[in-house]
Amino acid sequence: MKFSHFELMIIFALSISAIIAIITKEGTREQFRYFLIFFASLIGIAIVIAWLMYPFPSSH
Amino acid sequence: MASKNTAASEKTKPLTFTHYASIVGGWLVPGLGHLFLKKHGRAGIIFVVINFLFFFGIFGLDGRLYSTEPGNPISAFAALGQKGVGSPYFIIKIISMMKNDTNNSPQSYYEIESQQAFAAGDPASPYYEYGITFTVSAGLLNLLLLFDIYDIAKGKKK
Repeated sequence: MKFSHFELMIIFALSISAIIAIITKEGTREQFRYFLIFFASLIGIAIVIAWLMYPFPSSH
Repeated sequence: MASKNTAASEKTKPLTFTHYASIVGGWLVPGLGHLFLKKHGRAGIIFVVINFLFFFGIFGLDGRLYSTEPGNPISAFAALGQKGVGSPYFIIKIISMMKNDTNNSPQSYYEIESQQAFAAGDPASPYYEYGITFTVSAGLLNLLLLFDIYDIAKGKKK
């Protein structure tokens, strides 16, 4: 199976968000809300950092 | 001050044998600790997510199992992180040791490759580092969940 970096990042972010939501919040509704916010934050911040790094030359 | 201490001690419960068993069980099998504390939904999600992260990292992404290597002190932290996942780590370790039995020495390159691919990972794979990240994260998340079990057992969290 082949995965792109972005696909693996989504899988990783989904898993991490689920556990962090369970640990930090109480109640299903609050946990689900926090899961969505945490997941969106992880993906959003990664995209912003990638976009900021775009002008820098790569070593390849 | 005294009334505050009294109020705090009323909120927290003393730990019983079941609570200690929950903490140990939660380490050995992800989700078992929450199951002991009757948090069935959380237990199910934890079992699926932690095991998925670990086994996907090993089999899907060709990650490796760490053990403390002489001359590489950082490997101790990675090994500790992976051991946090509990029994899945030791199951893979034991199976890989059985496969690498010296009495059953490999006869060809393909046999060496099939033996190493199990727990030593495939460093040539483009997903090798991702695999390590997934497995170490699974272990560290499981260790973090032990604090959640402790809080539930003490009555600090529902």
